[in-house]
Amino acid sequence: MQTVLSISNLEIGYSEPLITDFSTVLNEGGLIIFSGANGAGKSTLLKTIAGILPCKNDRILIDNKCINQYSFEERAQKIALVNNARISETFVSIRQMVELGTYSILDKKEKQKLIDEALKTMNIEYLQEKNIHKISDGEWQKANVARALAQNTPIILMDEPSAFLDYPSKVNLFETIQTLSKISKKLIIVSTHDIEIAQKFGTLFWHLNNKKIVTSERFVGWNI
Amino acid sequence: MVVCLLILLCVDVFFVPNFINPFSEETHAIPLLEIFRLPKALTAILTGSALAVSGFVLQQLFKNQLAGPYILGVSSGAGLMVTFFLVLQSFFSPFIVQLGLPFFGFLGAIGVLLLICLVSKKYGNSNIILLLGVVLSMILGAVQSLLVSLANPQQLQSLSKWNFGSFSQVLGADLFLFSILIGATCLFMFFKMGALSAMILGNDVAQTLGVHVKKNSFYLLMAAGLLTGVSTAYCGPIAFIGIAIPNVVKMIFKSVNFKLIFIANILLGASMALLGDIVSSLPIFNYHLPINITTSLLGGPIIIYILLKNMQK
Repeated sequence: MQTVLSISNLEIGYSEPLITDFSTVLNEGGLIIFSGANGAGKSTLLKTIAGILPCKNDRILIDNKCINQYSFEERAQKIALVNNARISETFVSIRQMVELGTYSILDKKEKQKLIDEALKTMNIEYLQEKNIHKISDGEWQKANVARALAQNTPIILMDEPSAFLDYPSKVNLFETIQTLSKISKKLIIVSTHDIEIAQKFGTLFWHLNNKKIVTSERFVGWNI
Repeated sequence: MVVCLLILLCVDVFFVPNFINPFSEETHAIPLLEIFRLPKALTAILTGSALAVSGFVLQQLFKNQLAGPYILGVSSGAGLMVTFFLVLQSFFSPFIVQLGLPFFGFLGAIGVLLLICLVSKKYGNSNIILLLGVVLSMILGAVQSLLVSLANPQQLQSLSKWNFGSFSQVLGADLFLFSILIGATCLFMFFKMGALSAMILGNDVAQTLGVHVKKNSFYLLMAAGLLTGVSTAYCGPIAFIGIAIPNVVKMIFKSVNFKLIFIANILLGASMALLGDIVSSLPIFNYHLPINITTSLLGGPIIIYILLKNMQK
């Protein structure tokens, strides 16, 4: 198995540190379930890995190259991000939303192919012409993941994708995510509060507590 | 849309009966109808496109479909600086006067835009910028009135003429400079449209898609300020084109291909300005109506419709 992402001695935070001394090595095809209290710094870590927030040189490596050395365009071919930011635009259809995910792909045929594949993988082909404001939250989140899939990256980061979903949709979403990591060999890091569901699917667990991330193969966080 | 624009252009240039325009010194040019009207039509096209496009970009950047150069106070900012410049213009040489007008307009527009940008960054709420824009317009308008009251009678005449909005004041070298500025800025903006469409997904996601969000937002904001500032400097504050046209275009096209939307904005904005100009010069009234009156009457109802439609959601 190939190492995709490695993190060494990472420290993040704004005026005072949120996470200190975090090191890990991640291979392709992994599904990391990332838990921790609200405001502890889960989103901040994901944004740092995505290159949205700055970090020191040589702390985060993708394919053995520091993320700071990638250009925006190159990074877009490595990492995709799924978050809960809603689209205020009233007219956008699911297909159009997924199409926006292919921004960094220039070849038009390739674009259409990736959009079709992403819609098929997420099982929302029949919804593609629907307006994104007229579908359920579960369907919207699937479209959101499809948008990230269409970007065709080896790594996908998901920031609380299961928030706002009902129970069956949550299970369904995690099942789909597991399939993606197993079959498409993608490395997926998911931050979530839905541990009861997610612990059945993860290959590795991160738990953030007291500025430290504990890594384990079985879920060990929340010892109350 | 192209056809519609061409028809309106022909109507404006060839068929509208020319009435003596009390606001214009060019009345002696009546025998040379086309020579006088072509620049006027061209000015209308440039102004209409500039306002529609900058309205569209502002609506996207601030994620608010009621944003626009007029309501955000950008036109007022440009207006204040232009008034300031016109009052002081006797101190400058004619060459400086020619370049100074668009430059001061740009300064005023950018000043207001940067202020609004700061507030929207700090508070994040997109509705507060609309309120801020309205209040800013009032304050800037008051300062402008103060300046006007200091002007001498001759300046007063040119100021009030400017304030009503008119397409017939831009001629010769001014028109040349105006076309270059608007054309170049629109071309520059056109190549940023892909990035702007990706920003629909939110700034974080757009950045992971490979968009330089900060850099592009800054450039687009400056370009929108330039378009509004320059067109306001030459033609006066013109209401409603900047806010109404982008909404109409989106209702028609429903596309995330912003290059298409951009071109549609240019065509429809230009058409609305020409239509406004035609209606203004119709022989219903015994003089040329100020352009602002017609664009308000045409654009106002569209905005009310959009407001009501939004309320239903």
